[in-house]
Amino acid sequence: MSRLEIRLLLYSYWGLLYTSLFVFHHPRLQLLATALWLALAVVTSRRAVAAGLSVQRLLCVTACSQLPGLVAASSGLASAIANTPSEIANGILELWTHPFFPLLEQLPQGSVYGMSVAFVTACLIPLVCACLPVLLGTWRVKVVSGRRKLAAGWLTRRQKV
Amino acid sequence: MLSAIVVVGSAVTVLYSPYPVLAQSDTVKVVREVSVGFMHGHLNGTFPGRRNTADWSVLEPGDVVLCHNPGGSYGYWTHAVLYVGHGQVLDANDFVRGTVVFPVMRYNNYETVEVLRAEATADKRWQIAADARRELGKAYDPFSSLEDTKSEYCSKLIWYVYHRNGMTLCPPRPWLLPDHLAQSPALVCVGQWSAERMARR
Repeated sequence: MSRLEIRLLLYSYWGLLYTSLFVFHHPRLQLLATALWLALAVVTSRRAVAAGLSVQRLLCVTACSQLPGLVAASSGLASAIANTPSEIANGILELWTHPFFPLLEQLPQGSVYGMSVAFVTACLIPLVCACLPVLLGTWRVKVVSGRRKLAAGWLTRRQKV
Repeated sequence: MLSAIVVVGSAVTVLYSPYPVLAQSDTVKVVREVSVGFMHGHLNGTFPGRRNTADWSVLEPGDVVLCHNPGGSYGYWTHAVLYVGHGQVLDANDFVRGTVVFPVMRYNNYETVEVLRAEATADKRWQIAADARRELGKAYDPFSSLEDTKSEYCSKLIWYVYHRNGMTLCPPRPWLLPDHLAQSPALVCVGQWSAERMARR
């Protein structure tokens, strides 16, 4: 995996945030930008795995790219559970998850343990953003390599016969 | 290839921004002020520890309560709520709980509060207050546009509820602040109270 691709994974989300905030009057454009970022992250992950990067290291890179969101989500959730909401943590989380707000707004207006469904889901977004590109980027590669192994085994058996 | 598409897409979306350059510069100014405040660790300001001495008995449904705390990062008035009757206000300032109702006594914690009343009949204001309860439970998004009816923030909630009922408190902006409501020609001041001194107009 080249340094350029790692940088792309790390910084592309910042680009998405900037774009999302600039087009906040157009939820559809926000969703389009988010979908493009997700596609970019998946393709980069696939290329990284194909180039020999381990899944653990890839997960480390994607987690680093979501670190501000992960920290804000965990501290925001912890402070909300302790009934002492943290303004700074929630502010960072709002900013970080803003590209996904058109989706969050579609959620039912219920509450979970006194917290809104939108807030709880927003807390999960950085985690999903860290894991989803890795999952989508590696599962097919694994299947292909598994098939190759099978094919290799079948050929060996056939050669033996 | 995909990264090129993202870059071009971002450029196109930026060029398609809906507001003219002047409106954007206003937004940029607010964003800069908020960012500086954020870096210093405050957004809505800090509660001074001294309670204001507001006389809430003057409130009528539909009244706007503006709240000030020192160190707020986006203007003098750092918060705005809508009185909906029965000692309750509608508040959209909480990401954790969304749009909720609180007892008005809660706002004695602010350093200064001001009550504004719309220049409309009492029936109209009652109607607006009743209609405002439809916003309960909506998500809190301080970056939502005025056209986005599925999420709220404090001053947008008030502007939007009045706008839905045929009263535009102030011209629409990319980011509407409590200070903009304070300057509204459609609202008159009923009273202002602070922690240091009580002054009623």
